[in-house]
Order: sequence, then C-alpha cells, then structure tokens
Amino acid sequence: MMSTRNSIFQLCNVFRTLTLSRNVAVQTALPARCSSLLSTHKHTTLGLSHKVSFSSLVFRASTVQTLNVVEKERHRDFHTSLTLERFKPWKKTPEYTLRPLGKKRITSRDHTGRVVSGRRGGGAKRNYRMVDFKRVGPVEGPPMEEKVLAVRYDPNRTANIAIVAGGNKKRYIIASANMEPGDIIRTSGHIGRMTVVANEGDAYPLGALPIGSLVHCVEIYPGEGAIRVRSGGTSAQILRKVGGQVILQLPSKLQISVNERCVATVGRASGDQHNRMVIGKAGRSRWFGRRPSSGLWQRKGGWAGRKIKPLPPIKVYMDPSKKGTHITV
Amino acid sequence: MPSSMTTRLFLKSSSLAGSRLLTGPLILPGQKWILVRGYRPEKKRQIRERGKEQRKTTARKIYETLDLPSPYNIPTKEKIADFHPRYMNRVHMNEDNPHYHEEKTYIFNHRCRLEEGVNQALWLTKSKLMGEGQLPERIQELASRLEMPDMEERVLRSIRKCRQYDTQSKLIPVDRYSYAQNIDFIRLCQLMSGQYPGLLQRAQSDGYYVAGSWHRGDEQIQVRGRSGLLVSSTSPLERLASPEEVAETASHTLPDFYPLAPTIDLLTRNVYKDNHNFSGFYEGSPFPHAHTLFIHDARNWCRNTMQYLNAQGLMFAFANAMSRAKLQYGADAAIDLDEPIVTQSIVSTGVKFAFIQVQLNTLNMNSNDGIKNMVWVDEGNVMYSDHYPVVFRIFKTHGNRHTKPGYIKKMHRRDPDLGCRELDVNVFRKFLACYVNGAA
Repeated sequence: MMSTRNSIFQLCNVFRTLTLSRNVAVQTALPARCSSLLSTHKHTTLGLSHKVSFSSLVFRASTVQTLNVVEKERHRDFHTSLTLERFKPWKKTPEYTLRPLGKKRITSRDHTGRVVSGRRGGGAKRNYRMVDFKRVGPVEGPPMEEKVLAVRYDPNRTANIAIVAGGNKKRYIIASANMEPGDIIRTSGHIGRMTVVANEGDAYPLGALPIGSLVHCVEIYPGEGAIRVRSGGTSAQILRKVGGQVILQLPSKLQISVNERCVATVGRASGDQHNRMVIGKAGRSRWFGRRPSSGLWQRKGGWAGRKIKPLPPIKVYMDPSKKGTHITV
Repeated sequence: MPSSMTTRLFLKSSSLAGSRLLTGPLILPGQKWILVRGYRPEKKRQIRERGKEQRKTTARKIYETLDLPSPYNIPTKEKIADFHPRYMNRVHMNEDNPHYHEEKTYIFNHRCRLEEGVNQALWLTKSKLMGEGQLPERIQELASRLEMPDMEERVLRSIRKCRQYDTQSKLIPVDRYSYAQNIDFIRLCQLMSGQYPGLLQRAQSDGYYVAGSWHRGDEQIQVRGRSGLLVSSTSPLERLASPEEVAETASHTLPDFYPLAPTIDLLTRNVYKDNHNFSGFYEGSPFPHAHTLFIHDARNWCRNTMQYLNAQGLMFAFANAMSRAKLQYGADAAIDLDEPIVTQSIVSTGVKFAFIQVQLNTLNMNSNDGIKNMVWVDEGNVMYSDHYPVVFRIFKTHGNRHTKPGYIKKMHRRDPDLGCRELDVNVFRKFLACYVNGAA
C-alpha cells in the first residue's frame, strides 16, 4: 500500500513539472475548479467567484433584498443612541417591540455547548423583553422628557422594568426605586459648569452630577449602554472627579474610574426587596432554574472562614478598543 | 489485536448470532462513531476532514493533485427556484412598490390601541367634546318619548339568550356575547318599524371596509380597515347642533399630551395610497349613508377600561363621515360645511355601552384654529350587574392531594341569575333612540 502511494506522489510530481512548463493557453482551458497553485491571479478570482455563487444559492435573492431593507429600517426610528451598530438584542427582529419574545434557556452552557458552572437547569419559561440601556439625550438645549406609563415585572432580571414614552416612541428601561406611572423623567447629555439638581430616574452624564450622589445603570464607555449596577436594589456612589474621569464606588466596594461623559441614572434601581424574598420551599427554587447542591460530605478547607484582603486597586476604563483595565493607579 | 477481532475468533462456531456477526460488516471506529459529544470541536473537524480524504478514490486523488479536469461527469447542483406560486401575489413593501412615498403616514386600524384614549382621538379628529358626558338633547328627548310594549321583559329575554342559552359550552366568551347582544338589540329595535316606517329603509353590512384620510399639520392621518357592523340608510342624518353652537367652537383649544406626541401608537408606513377615501359603498348603492356603526369587544380589551374601544368607535365613525364628505366635496376641499355630516357609533362589551355621535363641521383639518368638529360621548352605561362571578364548587374525590391530582376539582356552573340583577332599561332606551334617530 505504502509503495503504491509513494509511486502516485512521484507521478504527481512529474506531471506537475510538465504542466508548469506548458503555455498559458492550456491553463485557461482548465476549469475553475482547479487549485490556485498553477493559475494566475485572474484565474484565482474566477475560481473564487464560482465558489461563492454556489454557496450563496441558499440565500434567495428576494429574501436578501428584504433583509437589507429591514436592516436599514431597523432601530433607525427608535434608538437615539450614537452607536447604533453595536445594539445586539437577544433575538434578531425587524423592529423594536414591547411584546415579550420567546427565548431558549442556555442553562450555563457556553458556545461550545459545555457546562460552565453547575447547578443550573430547568425552571419556568421566560420571555425576553427588549430593555433599552442607552439613555442618550441632547448635548445642547433642554433635556429630553419622557413619561412613565407602567412599571412591570421582568423574569430575566432582579430589577423591575418601566415602560416610558416620549414623542411617538415607547421603550422599556430599568425602573428606579420609587418610580410610578405618570412620572416624568429627563435625559440629557449636557455637562455644564454647575452640577444639576436631578430627580430619581433622570439620566445625566456622570460629570454633570454632584459628588456623593447615588446612581445606577452606569456606562463604562460613553455611548455603549449601561453595563454596571443594573441588578435590583443596587446603587453606586460618585466619590471624586479627576481630569475628565469620574471615580465611582460599586456595590462590591470596587472603585472604577470612567469617562465623565458616561451616562448614569440617578437613584437606586428598583427591586430592593429582592434579597429578602422568602423562597419558602425547595421546589420553588427549582422554578427559578436553580438545582440543589451536591449531598456529598466535603471537609471544610481554606475556602471556609473569614478572609481579610486588601482592597483591589481602582479599575480605569479609558479606551474602548482595549479590553479590560489597562491602567492601574 | 483489536477487540473486534478477538470476538470474531471467540464466536467462530458458537451461536447463530455469532455467525451473523462474522458475516456482517466489521465495526470500525469510523466517523459516525467518533462524532459524539465529548470531543473538542477542533478534533471533530480533523476527524471529519480525514474521513473525507479517506473516502476519495485513487483516480480522484490523481486528477486533483495534478489539477486535471475530472474524467467523470460531476452532476451540477440544481438551482433552487427563488419563487413559489403560493407566494407570487406578495408585493414589495420597499422602494419598488408603486405606492411608495418618502413621507411617512400615520395609520389607524382596528388593532391600534391609543394610549390616551378618547382625548387623543379628539386631537386627531380636531373635535370638541360636547354634552358633558350626555347624549345630544334631541336624542335624549327621543329616548324619553319612545315606548315599546313589554320592553323590560323583552330586554331581559334577549340578555338571557346571549349570556345563557347561546351555546352549550360552559362559559360564553366576551367576544361572542358582546356581538350577539348587538345583533339581538338591533332586532328588537327593528320591531319599532310599525310605528316608524323609516326603519325599513336600513341595511346591515358586517365587515365592510372604510378608508378616510386627512392632514393634521404636516402629518397625514389615515383611518382604514374593517371596523364592525354598519347600519346604513337611504337618507343622511340631520344635524345635532345649531350653526350658532358650531361657530362657538372656534374658541376651543384642543388637548395637549406633552411629552407624548398625539400620534403615538399609530402605525407609520411609507407604502400607502394618497388621499385614500372610500366609504365602503360603490356608486348606485341604495343605502349609501352611514347611520350607526356597532363595535363589539372582539379582542377582550375592555376588562378594566373601555377607553381604547371608545377611541376606536370615535375614529371609525369620523372616518365614515370624512369619506362621505370627501366624496361629496372633493378630495382637496378645505372648507367649512354648511350642511354638516352626522354619524353615530355604539360601542359595547355586552354589559357596558358607550354611545358616540359625530358631527363633521369642517374639512379644514390642517390648523388647530377655526371651527371644530363635534363629538358626544356617553360612556359608562352599565346594563346589568355582572359582579357576581361564575360559581365554583369544590369537588373531592377519593384519595388525597398527594396521590390524586384531581383531588380538588373546579366545577363551572353558570350563574342562573346572570343578567337579571339590577337591570337598567334606560340603557336600552338610549340604544333605541340612537337607532330610531333619523326615522322619527
């Protein structure tokens, strides 16, 4: 077997040398299926186009057209945020909608399908609500005003969500602690010389808010959307402002330094009774998708007991192109 | 030696199954056996590619390595047709559509729930709310005057028919009995045709299509769709307010909804027909004038409030009048009408009724100044007390709740006195007066 294989390869080498020595006219007669080793640049392009046409047969021309139109229209008339391209709802839908959408559980599996952390699975079905984390207001002029229509429960998070409307648009946002239907909330991007007098639920840049105020739904980079302090009953405190950066203390006592143009919502997030909720029985814990812990007896080791650690250093977020913290003060 | 070979030797002359194993194909750890969960994706890809290489024939290996044309006729892939006769009547809703406009229009149809209810509809139709929650005086007078023999008993019987004897199912849903109640009351009203022969000049049309369009400021507003059951007549209705009252409405200011826009919850579309006005009746129809529109609670909107359905009744009644006026005075006429057009609509959930009258005074809808249209809304008319719930009886079976899921069994039984408690016949009197209006 091995001998035959060797002989074939030898033959191949012989023929390759022969074909290389041939003129270009012979090569043009070859089909586009041939590998790009022999052919010139022209042929490679031809071959590529041929392959692409085969693979693109799956997408019908008409659907592609309509999809393009939908993509153009999508979120254009609703989202006022600057970074439109980075908005990724859980599911691709043609329009922003208040209707809860169907959702599949991932039960702590990652993209390869492996279990990342244990004790998750089952539970009641949940529907996804398109919560808008981008509170982008006008940089100049009076702030944008919106009216709270309703405060509702969301199974996907510990805080409640609110339906707010302004102009012709409605959207979901994270509700602040004492938000009620009929309230009017303001959103602004203006940083003035004086600090603003803000009510609960208003969204302002961190640079415009006074030192010591409590905020939630904090952006890490300007225009990216709120990432920190979104869970129920939490709030961060503004400690100080240094040269265009604002230093905050998170609920975990970790201090972060972010740009002063990052928008945050004033007050605490709603759902402060979340950690005092009495589950009542083991079965109800399963409804939330938590599985029981292992019954195996394990000796207590170093993980048990009180530990006293020094506070972690301040995390500084300056450049959105770099990942994580890149300056440690 | 692989394990399969050992089993071969072992089972050489033992049993029938063994002989079958020997004659059958040798199970090797091939592609399908390896591609199970637990392998990393890179490893899976390697195995898959190796399998592809192994399956190639020697001839194919030769011509591929030498870059020669293949000696075999490789069948070309069939192109999938990008059309199907089932979907050929679909049209593009983009720029290719002949009705595409760059300016958007606001469309109201039977699925729109206006956030601010009747107030928002008043702004959209540029109209003033009259009568302080009462019917117009002429119809109030008519309601007090009309008499029908055994009215209370007839009404009671019709309610019982709709709530209790309509179907054999345990519970009759709202969308059924609200529709049936409308139909049955119309039948009762039609019994008055002996006294008022004008009632014979009427026609019912269920699921008719109406379209009316106008401009409010820079925005075009269209009302269109299949709203409900329309009763139309040979002659138009008379005016409800005198010209002096109409002239007084010029000083009225329309409601404000800041920070909400008055066009919130309307659909925005780029594909629409310009000046789309259609009264629902073609030329030569014997009953062209819209008299009363009956709207029932088809989607169970009115569990808490009736404001969404009332707004819908107002918008569609106004669209009936507007399409009639555009037909009469031309599509671009922006004038104050000497002879106003009057239409009615009755909104009902089977229990609660709202009576709406619309008088179209002006076609000059662009500006908020000038005379306004007039709207009477009489809402919150409760026909009978519906607070008593359906009777639930607890039914115990043998066993206990751990062993038997049917231990506590809910039993639906219809309330035998449903519709008979605190009956208010005056609501039916208003219904009758609205129906007889125009014939008396």
